[in-house]
Amino acid sequence: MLKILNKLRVLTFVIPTILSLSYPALSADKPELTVYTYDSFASDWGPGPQIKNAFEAQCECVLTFVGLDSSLGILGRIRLEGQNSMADVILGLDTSQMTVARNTELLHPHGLNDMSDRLALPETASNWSDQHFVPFDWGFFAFVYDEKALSSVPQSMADLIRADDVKIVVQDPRTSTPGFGLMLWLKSLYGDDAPAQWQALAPKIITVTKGWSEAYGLFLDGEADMVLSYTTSPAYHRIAEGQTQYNYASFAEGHYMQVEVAAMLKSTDQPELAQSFLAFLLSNEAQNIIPTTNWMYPAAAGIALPDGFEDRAKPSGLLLADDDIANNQEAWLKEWVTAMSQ
Amino acid sequence: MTQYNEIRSYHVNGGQFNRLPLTGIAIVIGLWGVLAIALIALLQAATTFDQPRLFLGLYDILISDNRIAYALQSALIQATLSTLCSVLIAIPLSLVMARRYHWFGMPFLRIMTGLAFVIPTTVAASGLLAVWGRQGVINHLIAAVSAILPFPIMELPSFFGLKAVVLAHIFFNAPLIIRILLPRLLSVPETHWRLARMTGMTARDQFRFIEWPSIKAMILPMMVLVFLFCFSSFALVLMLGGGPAVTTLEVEIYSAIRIAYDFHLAVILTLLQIAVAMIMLLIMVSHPIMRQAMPQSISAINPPSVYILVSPSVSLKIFDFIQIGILAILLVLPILALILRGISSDMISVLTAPSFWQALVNSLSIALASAICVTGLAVILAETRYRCESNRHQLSRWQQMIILFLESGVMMTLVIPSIVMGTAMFILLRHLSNVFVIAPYLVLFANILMGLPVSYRLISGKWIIARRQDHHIRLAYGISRMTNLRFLILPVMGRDIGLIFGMVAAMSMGDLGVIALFSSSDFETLPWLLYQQAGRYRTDEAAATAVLLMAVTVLVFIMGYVIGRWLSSAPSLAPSSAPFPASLTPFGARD
Repeated sequence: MLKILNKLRVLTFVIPTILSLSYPALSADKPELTVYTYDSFASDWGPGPQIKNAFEAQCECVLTFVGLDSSLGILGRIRLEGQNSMADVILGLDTSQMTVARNTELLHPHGLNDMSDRLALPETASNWSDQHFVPFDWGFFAFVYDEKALSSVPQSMADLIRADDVKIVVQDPRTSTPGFGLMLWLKSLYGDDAPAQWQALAPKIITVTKGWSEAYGLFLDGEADMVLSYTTSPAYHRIAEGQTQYNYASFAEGHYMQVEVAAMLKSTDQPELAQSFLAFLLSNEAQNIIPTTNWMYPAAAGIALPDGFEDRAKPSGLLLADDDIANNQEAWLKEWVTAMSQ
Repeated sequence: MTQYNEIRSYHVNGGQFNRLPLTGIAIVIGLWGVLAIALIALLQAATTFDQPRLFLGLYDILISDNRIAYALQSALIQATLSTLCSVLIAIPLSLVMARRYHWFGMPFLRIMTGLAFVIPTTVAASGLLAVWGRQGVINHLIAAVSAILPFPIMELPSFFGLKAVVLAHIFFNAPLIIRILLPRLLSVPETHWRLARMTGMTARDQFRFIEWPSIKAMILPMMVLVFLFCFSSFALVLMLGGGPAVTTLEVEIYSAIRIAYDFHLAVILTLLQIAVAMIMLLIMVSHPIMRQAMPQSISAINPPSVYILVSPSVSLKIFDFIQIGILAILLVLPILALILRGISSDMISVLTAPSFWQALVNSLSIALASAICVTGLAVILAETRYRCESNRHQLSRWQQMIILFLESGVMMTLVIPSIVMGTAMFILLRHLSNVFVIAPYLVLFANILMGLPVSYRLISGKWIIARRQDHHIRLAYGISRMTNLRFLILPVMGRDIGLIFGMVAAMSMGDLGVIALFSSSDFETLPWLLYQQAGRYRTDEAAATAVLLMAVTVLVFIMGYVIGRWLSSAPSLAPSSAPFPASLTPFGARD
């Protein structure tokens, strides 16, 4: 028995050592810029590694991406950390979170003056004059389908709501960004009538998942005819997989937009570096990385999209005012739960 | 001297109370303390965001806003149904698995029952859909059959909804229940079976007089465990529930923290979950079954060599056949579907990525470390539970209270949502210079909290019986504690300890848990890698990673089995030790 205890004692030393070995040491001589983002931006397949290399090549610094579980997670984290945040820049919030983020009073104006000249956002958001947020990419929410499996594709949201043989899978607005986007989409189209429209839509919804990945997986497994995703999703299948049967349904009323933004924090100890990173995000170099890694449209003007990325005219965009969202989101979420639970 | 003191203490107490288990009580207080500190930290952070409204809030939330009441009701119905179905399916299955222990396919089925519980939930859901979904095996079968037949057959109705959630919970929990019941059935002393044979018992008699008495003490605690699992399930319920009509409180807790920043609401809802758990535990502890001492003796797990019915009737054979069929459809088919999909996918590109190997090393370190800690804690807590009891047949109110305190402390970690625990840990540690350096330790800590309820449940019942059994021998011979452990406890309990070691390690391998809240790319685990692949269109790679994760999980599980065999290898002095060493059988009692 003592022998067993001795062995266990050895393990208690070995294991923390293994754990601590799995950490790379940071180089101490260069300044470090820490960027909080969502996990898939920072992952090996996301834009993170390439952007890091490109920026480090010109900044004499170390750029560290910290991948948090979602864009909601980024905001939650800086709110908790307050003035002591490790982050210098947050990247990956979208327009619906801007007011909440601004109200934390943790953000510092980006100070980029000529920004709106460089941007190429769709009409709805073309007048970008925000003092805190730098948009770096954008996309439309859309229902993606498999051409081989679905023949009668709805041509508008009203079509989809009236359709009786289409099965769709969506995400929960309480836990996921696209789900929240769909809630805003119906709100911007129908206003106070949105709950009734949700009720009409409900029979077509096979399930409401926690996140995008579960919903998209269900769609790829053939459980649903359409999935709530982005207009850029088919581009992934065309470019990365060479599969052409996936497409998105273009809706006549327009598509709700997601503009992803970055901002620097007041508490940063590297303000110049943070600012130059925000400017770098809109440079041709960074913007060219975005389309085939983050699978969104680049925010800057004059960026050529790779082959296969887009072969249709872009739909018109819908966007609600961000303070409107901040003031009403609780009420709208309650409305959604009530409408969908009946 | 110690020995003398110990013996004396038994005499002084007149067998009424054993020595007070201070270590164990300290651990339980620690568990409750962690919980209290977490909730206080959240409340404190909440006051920096808005006005305190803890008690006022409770009224608001339960009465005026029917959303929460609805979520509570939905979760209660779902969890009750899931628990009842899981238990009703698992009991006959474990009887069959014990009865047909030597059937050639049984080792395979036993591995499968060990595997189901530890598959990441959303992965398992896609396995279930591969069987029951629109494009699933069953619908393909129906299509194939109706192509031959002149008339069309109805396809399966949509899988999603309450039934899908219940089925998924059966998939996870029935194997767990089997894992708890099977060792009990296999630990019935061989003399019982001989007696049954001599007296010509039928299958029904055998169930009534041997099998049921040996498992009945486990039923209630197990139901509480399964209920709490189902009650606090989250991503799975959303994915299969078909809409917010089937929901749990965890969804509301998540959105309270993430969208509304309403930490008060999150704390109140967590307290609500704790209250439900406490009610369940109270029912359990005060139930007459639990107050009776468990009179039965046990031996080391040994595949019964004489476990043969006098007349293995045809109807019993049919019954067993049907049961194994149910297990195959419920459990084996979905897992096979996952394995097939994974193997046919992009295995090479996953295996050649350095991130996979780094994640594997990280996951294995976490798994081993938490398995060691949890096994130790579970044994100490089981011993504590034993010492809380007197040797009388009825427990006093006071003893019941201590037991409730202990059981609830252990089980409570189940109903603390990981987002609450993660956020609280973060609030507490945010002033450290670099919270990411301690991320592995936080993951380890969370895994310990997660593994404790199951492993305690797996080990405590049998531990108590084993300790009662050796009590008299210890008194008679005055042997030391170490000798006692080596020759009386370990031979009987070794395999169970090995089982929980393997089980906890396997669970830790598959758990995403708090890592999502803390992770930076510096510390990736396998489930985190899987989560990232699935979140990045890489469904193919995710399928491959899932299979590799399952393979590693099986290896970890087998390691637990080997450890169990090594621990139990001493010659047993226990009263009804196995005449047949388990090592003679191809796969032993455990896998």
